Amino acid sequence: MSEATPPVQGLVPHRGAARFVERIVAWNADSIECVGQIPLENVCVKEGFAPALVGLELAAQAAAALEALSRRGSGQSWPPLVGYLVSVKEAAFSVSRLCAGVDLTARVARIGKASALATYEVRILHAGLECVFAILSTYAAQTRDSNRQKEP
Amino acid sequence: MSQIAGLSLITSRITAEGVSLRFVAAPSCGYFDGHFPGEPVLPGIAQLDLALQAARQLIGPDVALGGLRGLRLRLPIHPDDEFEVSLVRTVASHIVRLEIRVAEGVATAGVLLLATPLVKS
Repeated sequence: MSEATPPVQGLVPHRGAARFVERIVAWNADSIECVGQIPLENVCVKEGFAPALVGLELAAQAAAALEALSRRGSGQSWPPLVGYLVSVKEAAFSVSRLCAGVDLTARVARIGKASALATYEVRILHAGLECVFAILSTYAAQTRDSNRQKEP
Repeated sequence: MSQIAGLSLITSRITAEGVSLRFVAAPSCGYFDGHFPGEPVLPGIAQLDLALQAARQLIGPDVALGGLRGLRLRLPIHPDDEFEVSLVRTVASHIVRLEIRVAEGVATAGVLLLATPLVKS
């Protein structure tokens, strides 16, 4: 399953306490596994915990990393696009909250794609136990930075 | 209601049928930090976080989010936009309908499945 695993920081536009994804474990054309953390300084964290719904953000960022890798692999312009979460068809949270500052695993499989719109089946695990399952869709848009990079 | 720097609660209305909370988030609000540099938008998880806080006002402080159904995020919410988070009860006590409105219309809508944790954490 694994191909080369580049640093994740250049693959997603999120910065500071908004960036959850930290490293790529493995990826291929249609799926990715990442490890990340909910930063302790993230505004959703209270007394070291965040609602389990926050795990959706890690999943969305893993999906964004997959799309950036896929664009790079196909020779397209691959600076990070802003991936807007546009739908969550369904989600199930088997825990009420997630611990911030500890490793979480995101497993994301793309199950559909039409132009800039893509749908993923996502799972967030802690210590091997599934905490979050969801089917979500994102829409990729050019950032102002990626547009500027194209200017002569 | 959790206090978040830069987030102002403008109005609050709780009835037997539901709850509506109207907010405005300043550019300095922590929800916008790093999301995204130069193009701040309110993250979907921030919207759901506020919806969960609204649910706790409606039902009780121990309520948690057990699931989501049919959540659609149609319009972005930018700094200084006023937005209203509304939850409406359904015939099922643990299911509420979410709607987040901005001046342009419905930004976000869907169904929240609520739960009460078995073990107090």
